[in-house]
Amino acid sequence: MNFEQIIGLEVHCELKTNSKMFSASPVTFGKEPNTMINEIDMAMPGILPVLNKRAVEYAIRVCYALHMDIDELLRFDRKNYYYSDLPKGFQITQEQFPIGKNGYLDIVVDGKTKRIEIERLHMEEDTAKQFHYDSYSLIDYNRSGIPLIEIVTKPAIRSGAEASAYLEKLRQVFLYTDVSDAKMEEGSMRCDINISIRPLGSQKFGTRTEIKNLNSISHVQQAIEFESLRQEKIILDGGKVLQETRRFDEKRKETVAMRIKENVANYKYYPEPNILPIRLNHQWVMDIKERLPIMAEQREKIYIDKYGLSQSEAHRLISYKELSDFYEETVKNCSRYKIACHLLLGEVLGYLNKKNISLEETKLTPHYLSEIIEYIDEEMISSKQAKEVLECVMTEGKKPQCIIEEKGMKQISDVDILTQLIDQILDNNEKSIRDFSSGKDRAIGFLVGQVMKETKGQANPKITNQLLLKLLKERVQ
Amino acid sequence: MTEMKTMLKQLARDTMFDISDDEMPALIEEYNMFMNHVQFLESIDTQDVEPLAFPYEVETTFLREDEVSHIISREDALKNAKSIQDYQIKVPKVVK
Repeated sequence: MNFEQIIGLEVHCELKTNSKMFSASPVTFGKEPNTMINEIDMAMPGILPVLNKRAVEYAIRVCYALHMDIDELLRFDRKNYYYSDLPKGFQITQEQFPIGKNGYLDIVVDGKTKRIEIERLHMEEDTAKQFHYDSYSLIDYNRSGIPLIEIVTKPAIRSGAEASAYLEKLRQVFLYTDVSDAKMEEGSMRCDINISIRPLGSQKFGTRTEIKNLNSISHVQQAIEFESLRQEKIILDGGKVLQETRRFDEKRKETVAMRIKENVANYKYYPEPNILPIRLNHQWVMDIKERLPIMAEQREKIYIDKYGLSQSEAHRLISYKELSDFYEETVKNCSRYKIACHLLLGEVLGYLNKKNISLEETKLTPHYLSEIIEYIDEEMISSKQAKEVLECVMTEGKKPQCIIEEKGMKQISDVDILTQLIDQILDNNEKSIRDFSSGKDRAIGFLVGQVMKETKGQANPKITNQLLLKLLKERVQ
Repeated sequence: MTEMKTMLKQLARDTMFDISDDEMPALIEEYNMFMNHVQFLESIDTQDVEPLAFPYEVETTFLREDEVSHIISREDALKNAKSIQDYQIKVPKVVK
């Protein structure tokens, strides 16, 4: 029997506002525990929540990017549950009236475009962070109250590959709308999976399980693959899939039961009495749309049409927002679009991966990059030297020109100087000339090597090659 | 009576209040008053009545500017905690 996977994803994303959703304490990550909070985040008596304007703006940006209908009347609800990460005993969320509804995101899997329908986007607040030890837990409230948006798809996803493509794309939306750093490993983007399977062709949904708190896209894919096989085995053995909450064990690469969901959890939702309905200014909402940053897809199109990059170059470049931003800045003053792209995706990205750092942590600036490109263009340095300069700039932050001078790197492109040098080398290498005349091409490589050795790699390779061939031919004749 | 006492003790424990035996009679009295009130509310016919969340049906427009303007000291934040370790509040482990 062939089965079909029915998957829905719930994604939480922390917004990178300055202050929290309902309080004026700061949004931070990795700071000293319990130093970035106030009475509201700790739910002390008498507190009142006041909604953060920028958090609303960010939510609206994502709504637009996901082609959603926006509800300009904001209403909040309380989701009641008792757990130590939730000091108030309820979370302020938008159960009944989410700010965004009925959106979609187009993904590409195996060369085919598929539209993933999105049911809703709502605003809520993050919980405190807990650290569990053998017999106790410690609570740090710094995360308590950080603005969150939750985005829920319809059960429209049919494979781990689709889920992974959707998450990549959604992450890109968060990055390009500039609302979050969307780091799954730091928890600023988190994903829960709802998954069931059914015999192919059946219209009825099977019993679904929920897999909570996945912290990387590859884990999402692995969890889906494991879980659908697990459910398949149960059904083929004549058993019944239980409606339960599971987690993904990263080491064993399997999902593990956490708790049975006998009924839908009763969160006793009701309207948040401390926040009256808020009517957004229609013009303000429209302005947010007007000012929406350029999305990844538009950039990709510009890179191909205007800058002449190939489809795969453009696609790779936009998949690193940081590199793409840097590229945009660089090409403002530099029309060598291809070289800029190659250096960024090649040398720069290689360096970042090797050192496991972000571009921001290096000392490279768009200005320095365009300067280096200029020197390559003028054949002042070879592309091999350019790599060395680039690495030096990234590490030390010196001006490319200084590095070139310090290292005595300037490329020798002067035909007279090179001719003189090559003549000398040919005089000392009669055998190579004979080899060349008997058709042994590697003689050229050897002779170029000699020139490079003599010039400490500074001879312009293109001119050296041309001259060498010319002079060799003259001698052979 | 003892049944109610047990229930209230349990509730107090769950919500992390210490209730002494001396306080119990007053609590039971208040509880009974409250339950009478609830019973009275339950007797009201709410068929076809829409739930009311706010006494005034007004819309507001105020949104707070995104500025950090109030942080409390860690000492103040942790003052009420019964148990602290490494500047964090220590609680019995309950994994959700």
